[in-house]
Amino acid sequence: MSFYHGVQRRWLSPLLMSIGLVCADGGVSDEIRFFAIPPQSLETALVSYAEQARLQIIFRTDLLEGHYSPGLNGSYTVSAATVALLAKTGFSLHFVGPRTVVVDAELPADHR
Amino acid sequence: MRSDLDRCEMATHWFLRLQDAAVTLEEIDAALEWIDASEQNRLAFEQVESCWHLQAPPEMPADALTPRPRRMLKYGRIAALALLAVIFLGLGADSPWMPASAPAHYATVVGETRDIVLPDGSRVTLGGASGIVVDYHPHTRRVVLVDGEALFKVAKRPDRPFIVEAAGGSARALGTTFNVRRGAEGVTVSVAEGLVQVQLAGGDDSVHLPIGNEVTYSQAAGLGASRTVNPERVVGWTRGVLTFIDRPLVAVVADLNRYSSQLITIEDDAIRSIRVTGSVTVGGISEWLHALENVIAVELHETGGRLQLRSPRPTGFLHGNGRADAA
Repeated sequence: MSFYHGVQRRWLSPLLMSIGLVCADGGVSDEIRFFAIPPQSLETALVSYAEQARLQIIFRTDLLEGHYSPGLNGSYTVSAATVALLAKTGFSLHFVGPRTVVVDAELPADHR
Repeated sequence: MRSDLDRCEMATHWFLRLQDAAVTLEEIDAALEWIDASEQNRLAFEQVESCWHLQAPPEMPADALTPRPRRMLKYGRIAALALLAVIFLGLGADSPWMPASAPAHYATVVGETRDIVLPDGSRVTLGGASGIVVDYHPHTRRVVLVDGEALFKVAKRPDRPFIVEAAGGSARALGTTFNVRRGAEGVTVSVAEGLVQVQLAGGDDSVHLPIGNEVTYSQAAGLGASRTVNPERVVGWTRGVLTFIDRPLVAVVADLNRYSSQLITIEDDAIRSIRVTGSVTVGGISEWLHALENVIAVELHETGGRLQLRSPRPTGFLHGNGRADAA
């Protein structure tokens, strides 16, 4: 998802954003949900995201330590919400079960 | 005499309606209205309630109380009643008939949650494999959390504090919504509404928790620092969503075992203390634990109705690299 690095979130059209979630299956990532996630640590923001997307999520707490999220508000497809929430954070989500996602850390593009 | 008989019938009627899973909100309101209408009504209701709990089948084998037959949830109520009987015996009740003020006991089995309306209109949601003893007195409302977790929606009675005791500490409220959970780290009190005072027994250590705060205490570690918690998340488990924010795996597994149809065990000490964060639905526990394989160095094995979490390289008998072999 480093493709989106440096791109302002507001420039991403919902259509473009809907391709964000890796390995989504069963159409879950196309489900439209209302997200109300206030600014907070990225750790708890991702838990709120999962609760509101009706997904399960699990990650090591120390993976996201010290990262913050500006939050997210409005109706999005599940995958668009993922992209919006994780833009420029260096993290991504991927499905490991029908309704379960885990968090992956991505190396910044210029470090590959 | 006649009116006492009517009162007894009414108390029985309302008590049975409140036990029924199909009870309507209107009926609950009507029952509460009747209970609150007079002190005699309240006493009659409490009497019916304590009689009911004493009529648990005493011949129930003790085996039925263990959570081992995890799929037999339909026997939950019977097992719970049997457990209540055992608690009574354990407390040394001499006579099978207790006075109206006798403590009332409620318990659930693994995977069962239960809503209870207390005589003052306070509501309790009891989590899986959990138990409370309700001990009401004219000036205090006292509840002991014996096991597991419970969410309390306390009816406002400024003159009659509502106190939940658990493992050497207590949470005191006048009218509010809060959760008390016994877990691997100790007892955690979380406030979804209002204000709760948490206090260690026999000590001056106490803290006032406003809405959106929680604290953990234990005999060993004392009263911890309070931290913020999303109030909606405090009640999330009553809708079947369990959330873990920065918890050691051993505590996560202990909580999951109150809901999982298969017993979950951690076979390797090294992974017990790994701290994880996540959200899981009661119906998706197995899928969520499988996801853990992508998150930490752990393997999930399903054997004999159990879910075992193991390190991928158990020392000794497995030639080392289990993960590489599987690939």
